[in-house]
Amino acid sequence: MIARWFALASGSLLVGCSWGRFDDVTADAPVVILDKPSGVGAGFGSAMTALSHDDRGLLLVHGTPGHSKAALFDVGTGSSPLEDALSDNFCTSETGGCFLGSSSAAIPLGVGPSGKEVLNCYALGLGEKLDNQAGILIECEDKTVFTIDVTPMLRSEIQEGLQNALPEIVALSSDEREEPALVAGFDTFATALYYPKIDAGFVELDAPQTKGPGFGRTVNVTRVADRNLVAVGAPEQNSIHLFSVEDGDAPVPAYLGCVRGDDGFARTLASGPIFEDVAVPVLAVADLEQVLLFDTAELLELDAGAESECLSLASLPRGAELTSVKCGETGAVQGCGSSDFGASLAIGDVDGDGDGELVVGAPGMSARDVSKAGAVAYFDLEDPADTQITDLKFIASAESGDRLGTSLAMARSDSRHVVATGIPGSGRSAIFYCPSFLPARLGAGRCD
Amino acid sequence: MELPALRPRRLDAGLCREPIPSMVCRVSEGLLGLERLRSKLSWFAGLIAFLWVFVAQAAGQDATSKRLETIRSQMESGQAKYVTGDYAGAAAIFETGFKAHPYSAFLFNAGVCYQKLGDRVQALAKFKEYLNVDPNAPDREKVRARIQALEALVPGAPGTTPPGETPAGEAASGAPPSIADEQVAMKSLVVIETEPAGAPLKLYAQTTPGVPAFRAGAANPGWTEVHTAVSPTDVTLDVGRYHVVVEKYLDFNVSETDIDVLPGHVHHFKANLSQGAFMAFLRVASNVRGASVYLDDPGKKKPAWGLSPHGELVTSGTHSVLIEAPGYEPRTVAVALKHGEQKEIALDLTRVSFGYLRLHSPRARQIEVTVDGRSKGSWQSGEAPLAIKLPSGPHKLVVKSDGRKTFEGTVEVPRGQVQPVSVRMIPKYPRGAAWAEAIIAGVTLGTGIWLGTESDRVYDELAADRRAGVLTSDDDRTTKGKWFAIGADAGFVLTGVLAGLATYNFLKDPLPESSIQLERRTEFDPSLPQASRAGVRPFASLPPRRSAAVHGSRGVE
Repeated sequence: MIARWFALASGSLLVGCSWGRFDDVTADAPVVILDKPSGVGAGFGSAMTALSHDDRGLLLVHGTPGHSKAALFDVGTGSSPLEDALSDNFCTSETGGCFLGSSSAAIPLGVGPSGKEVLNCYALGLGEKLDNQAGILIECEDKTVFTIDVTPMLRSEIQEGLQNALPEIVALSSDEREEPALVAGFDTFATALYYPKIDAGFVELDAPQTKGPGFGRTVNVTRVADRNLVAVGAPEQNSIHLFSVEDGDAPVPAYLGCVRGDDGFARTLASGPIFEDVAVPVLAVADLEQVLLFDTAELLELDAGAESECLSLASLPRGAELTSVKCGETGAVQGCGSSDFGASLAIGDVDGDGDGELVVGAPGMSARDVSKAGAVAYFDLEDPADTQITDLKFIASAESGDRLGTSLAMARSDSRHVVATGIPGSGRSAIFYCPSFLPARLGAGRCD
Repeated sequence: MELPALRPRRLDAGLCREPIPSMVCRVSEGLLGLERLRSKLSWFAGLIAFLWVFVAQAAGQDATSKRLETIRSQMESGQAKYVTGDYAGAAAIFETGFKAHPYSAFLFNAGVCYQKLGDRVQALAKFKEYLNVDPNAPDREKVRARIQALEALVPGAPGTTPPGETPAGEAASGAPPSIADEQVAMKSLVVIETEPAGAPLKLYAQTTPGVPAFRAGAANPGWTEVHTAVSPTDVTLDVGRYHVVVEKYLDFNVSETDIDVLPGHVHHFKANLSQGAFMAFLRVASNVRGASVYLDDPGKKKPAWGLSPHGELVTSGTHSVLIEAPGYEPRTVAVALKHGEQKEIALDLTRVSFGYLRLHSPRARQIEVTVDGRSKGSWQSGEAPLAIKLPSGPHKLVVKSDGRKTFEGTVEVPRGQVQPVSVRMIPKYPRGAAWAEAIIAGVTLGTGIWLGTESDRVYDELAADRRAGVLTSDDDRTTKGKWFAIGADAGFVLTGVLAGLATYNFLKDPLPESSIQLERRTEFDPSLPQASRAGVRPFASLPPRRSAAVHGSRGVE
């Protein structure tokens, strides 16, 4: 008995002495937390957009759309991001006024108003800048700020909003190219604009027969072969409007048609390559229950622009809808019924295998009995028949109401992507480095 | 060894000059007076008187015996010095002896010593005084001749013999006279008694060596009457063979015996006229002074015959002598004595194989005693010391007392003696602080273990979360786990410190250990358990000891 107590005491002493082990176990933790910079107001993590250029990854994390500012973080080139923001003053009103958008678009390279090349910029909201007209506000890492033009009506509304402090919210998206095309959705005005480049002017995406309230709430543009597939969501109508845009400085978008889904359909959009056997990117569309994956090549072949009604999912051509994924639970993560599964979507190559993985945010899930802690579900789908959740991540330090997974972004980290997700409930953001299916060669350091 | 213990009948004026039988006679006369008053006095007074007589007789016997023992001792001491050539020392002893006990033999012997020293004046003085003291001495003519010879050497005035001159009457060879030399040999004192006293007696000296033994009523050539007296009597005699005849007296027959007188001795003879023979003399000595001697009383139903060394006239025949002393094995021997025989026996006693521990503690209110692993009882303050009977030899002693340090040690139990043991019980050093520290150490240890366990649990959770890829860099459990770990370490360190302090305070003891003090051993006494079996006689009869006072005791075995 005495010997057992002695052994226990000795062991405890030895173990207890190593309080430094806690630093060891949290050093290079698999989840890096980005705390809200002091300059950012409420809602930090409500939206986020990753940018990669020259093997460098940046992450713009939004505060509350229309009211707060955004902060720019350097994700770094390896697995060690800078946890302190490069800047917490994006979308500032100091130089004229800004309404932070509900999403932003990454512009790795572009040309500014005076013809100056700009790098690492974000189209992040609506605003005006000194001598620029009100429009879509673009802000770069080097603090170059300018606006790009919008329609006169929108400009006027923006100016009025700025004057009256009545935010106008814009949804923004860009394609994957270094000098990308840009799409902006103004759901308040049921308007969406397409910019082949930021210095090339815009064309309006018009779907006169079918667009309705909420048109432009969500937008997505993805590169498919030599053209862009533009998706403009209208969640209030559970529909999505598709456009095909050819390259060129003055392209004419072709309206492909409208697709209607279940409740909440098109509330979130994302695109990217997922399946090895599907060469083109996949368009991911979330409704309130699931995330549907569409073959963008098949969508580009739609010819329903003249239809007065949106196509139902069932009426889509065979092969257009690839599959759908739904919420799932594990022992630690529960609560699919109120999970808000699909609140955010992102597609990226998180395991470095060359094809992308779908990551779905479910901010309403409970993690370890912490309600609404939130979680993100990884789907490493090999083929459309594979719809099982591959991994379900949360943060061990979750607090009730964190709503992790409210926003998602795929930030480039070396040869793969890491998943950044917003935790607006506690004003934080997190970067997940270690999905369970990550090859060991890529997990050295953080994922041992 | 034929040194008789004497029972003097001629004593100095300061003491009783009557023999004990006379005393008895006188007391008996007193008793006759009492008989005449018996009609008027109660029987109780008679009893008191009888007891007084008995006690007086016993006391007189003891005093006389002691006195004669002293005379004999002085006589033999002087003789011993004379034999070794210490004439001055011998003369001094004889002079002292005479002053204390005016027997003429001392004077003659002193004169001989002075003569050997060449101090003729002193020699003459002593020889003349000898005749003055004992004008009817059997050798008075020889002494007068000796005086004349000396006076011839000292004409007119006292003088001294020049160095190297041999005094008159001494051996012409000039060598020291032999003990057997009649002219210079020490005279001896012969005391003759009869029972009853008053009997006429005659003393004959054998003047011619080798003549037949003296026979009463015969011519007895070679024998010369040298002394006539009524018993009791004492006479100073030269060395030689004598024959004493107690003539018919009252209804008693004649009794006679030979006497061999040795130089410088005190001879004591007593005739029991009722038996018609002289008694024998028995002296019992022992290595234990004061041992009780019982004569023909194996059951010890009577008072002891005496205390060793003890000698007394006894009837001839075979006697049973039992000697015992406290702490010694009693010993019984049979002694055969002939008429007139003088015999001394030395009976060495051996200690019994057990002893006693007598324990007490001057400081403790109560002590519990264990010897050789067995409880031996307890002792409380105010009680008699606890006596424990044990086999002699070393024993493991354990003494306990509430609130005091336990004594453990070995104590030697003597054979046939009591080993008083004073147990010095030292209070236990207070351990309150040590216990408090130990308890706090236990609490801190428990807390440390709990905190360490919690720290491990948190760490395990964090490690599991890390493996699951859900651990964040800002996980607040890290802080908690650190504090647990730090708390655990602090607890262990504090435990170590407190445990060390507790250990130190448990071991720290500025007070000495309990100890025992072995006091001077004492002899067995009546207070001891089973004292009778141990040969313990009543306390009052114990000889005085130099040791501390003997305590009463409660005993266990």
